[in-house]
Amino acid sequence: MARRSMPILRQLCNFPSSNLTPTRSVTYMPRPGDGAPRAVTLIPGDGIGPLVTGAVEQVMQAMHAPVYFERYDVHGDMDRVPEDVIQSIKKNKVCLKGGLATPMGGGVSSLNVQLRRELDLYASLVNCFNLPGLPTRHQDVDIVVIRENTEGEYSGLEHEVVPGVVESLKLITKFCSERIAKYAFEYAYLNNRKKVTAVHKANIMKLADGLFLESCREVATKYPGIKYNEIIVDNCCMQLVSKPEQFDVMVTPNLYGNLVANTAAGIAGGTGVMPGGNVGADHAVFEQGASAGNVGNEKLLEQKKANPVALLLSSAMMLRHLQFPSFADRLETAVERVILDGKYRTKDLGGSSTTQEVVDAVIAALD
Amino acid sequence: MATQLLRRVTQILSHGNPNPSSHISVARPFSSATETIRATLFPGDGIGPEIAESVKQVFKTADVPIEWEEHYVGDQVDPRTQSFLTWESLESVRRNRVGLKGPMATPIGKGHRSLNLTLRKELNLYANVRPCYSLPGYKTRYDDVNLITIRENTEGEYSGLEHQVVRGVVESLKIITRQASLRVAEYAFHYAKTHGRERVSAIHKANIMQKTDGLFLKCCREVAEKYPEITYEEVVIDNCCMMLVKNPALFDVLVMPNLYGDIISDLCAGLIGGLGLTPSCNIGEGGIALAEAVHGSAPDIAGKNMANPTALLLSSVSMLRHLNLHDKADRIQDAILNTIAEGKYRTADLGGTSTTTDFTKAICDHL
Repeated sequence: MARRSMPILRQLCNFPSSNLTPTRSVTYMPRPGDGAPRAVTLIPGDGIGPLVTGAVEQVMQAMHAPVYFERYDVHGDMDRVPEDVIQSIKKNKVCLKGGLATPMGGGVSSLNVQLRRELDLYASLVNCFNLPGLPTRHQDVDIVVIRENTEGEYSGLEHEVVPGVVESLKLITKFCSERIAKYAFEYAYLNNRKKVTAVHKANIMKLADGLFLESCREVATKYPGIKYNEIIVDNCCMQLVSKPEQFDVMVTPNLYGNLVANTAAGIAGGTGVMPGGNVGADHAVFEQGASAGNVGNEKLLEQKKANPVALLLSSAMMLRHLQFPSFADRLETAVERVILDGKYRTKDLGGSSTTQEVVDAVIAALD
Repeated sequence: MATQLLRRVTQILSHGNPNPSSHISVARPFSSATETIRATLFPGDGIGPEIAESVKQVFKTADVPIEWEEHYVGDQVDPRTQSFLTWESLESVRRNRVGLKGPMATPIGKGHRSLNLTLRKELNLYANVRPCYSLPGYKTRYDDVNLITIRENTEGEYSGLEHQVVRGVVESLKIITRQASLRVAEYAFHYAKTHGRERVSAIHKANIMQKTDGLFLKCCREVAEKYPEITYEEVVIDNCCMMLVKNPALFDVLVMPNLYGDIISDLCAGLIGGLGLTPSCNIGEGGIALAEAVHGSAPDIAGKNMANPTALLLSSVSMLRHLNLHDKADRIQDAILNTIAEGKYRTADLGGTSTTTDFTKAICDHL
């Protein structure tokens, strides 16, 4: 575990307060043989997915990063994630993925959710922060939303009671609530975060969210150095749009986490720039932070103007997870330089560049 | 309970679509401005009586033909209603069909229902309407908000049906019925038409909760076909949250089930400055409208003449619009907006130093 915490400590030293001239980070002594190239499963996905994963591949190659990608084709309209993809992720333990589109209202459950459940990726993490140089309405935003990924409202257990009446089950278990609370506090502890906020609606859903809160409170007692408070989800959204600087790490059940993560991503610059990933006890899948099911529309695809920044930053998180901290630093610095410059920005950030132009700018900014 | 549902379903199936005009006040005999209309007023607790006084004063100065019937919340549980609201109060609202409610503090204790829940169940208030528009003169980070959120108020995730399956596993039921969804969709489109709105957006998460939100969407689509002049679109809730915080001008009328409605309506309230400035109106079966102030009773400033009556005043304006007294409603609304825009008289929560009575007098002067 000490080995695993080193890269996270690295993250805390460098991120987000990195100034743009590269500084040498705290020296990291690798074990002999750590430089051997690691295999990473790559799932390009649907829509703009192949475009942005292509961007990541180009940048990785330009940096000569010790990773090589094993590409697998998965599309949103398959009924299950193919078995060989799951085997590959189990072997490599790390995956980078573009979004998978989910057909609306059909009989197929979302493949994104299926993948998370098969690999038991129980924590979804989105880091929402202001990028220097990107104008937003809110300043001083630095929120990490940790969301329970396997149960809650997304259990997929629905049935029609009689014609015209449909029921959906929301499941909350002590086991899952406890492990997500433990992960949230551990993350806060390892990254020097000061406060963990639990988001809930226990005034209405007394038993379900009450159980979630109980688990969070128990874990909070084990970390006396970290402040813990609770906030109701509607008040939370209101506070996010008026005073986002009060939040630090937020831990939430499944549905609220989705909303809070997207709101936080929106106030900090949009889902096109927020990195994130899903992690479990044995595997990690990195993807665009918030709204991973959004694969863009056709116009974006035709004009090739999708924003690769989110996936580039997520791949930097992946590099740290694989214990290649200096490559991660170089990538993040390059991306931040490009954003600060302002010349190459895609449409959602207010510019008009294509994906390829942004990628070229990032490669040029690498040192 | 299954037989009751079956009976209701066969009723619906035999009568076809429920007649929209039965629960929408289109051609009511109250449209003439000379006849006095009786309305029930619940001043509420804390700052309630002061702000109710403001409303009465403004209405008197504006010559609004409303006669108030005041009812207070008792301090003893009425066995007929199982709560602190007496049967007489409820009958009064049922008779007058229109009411205004100040903030009520539910006393802590067991053995009685919360006041809001009592009103909702007894009067069958199925839709909660919150118009959110930026107040000129009160600057928040968002200047161009002009949207209405319509939230289904009776079912969905707030059905209150939870149970513990085994120790550590809790299940909560989310119910969506065709009847309730049709009802709220009908109201939303009717509202859009009568208030000159061009677009209605249904907010959902049908890619994950396919049957429940799928049913809600199906009902919305059916109603949309009857109103071809109004544009109808469907937006996934995480996208919606993100778009709301980036560019709220994209939305016009939003219609959604219970939980999403709760969160989104509070988010929109946050965009314009908080619950102290947001009006709200609950619509019930048979055309009952109960406008209310959604902020708390603020016991710490009660009696000090410091309270901000804006929320209750704007709610009373939406009550007037429901009664088709549009010219009076416009006059009062303009007076309120001009007073706030001028900036000379503002209460403490908006950053000023006026008292409630000064603020009210300023509004009356503007009429």
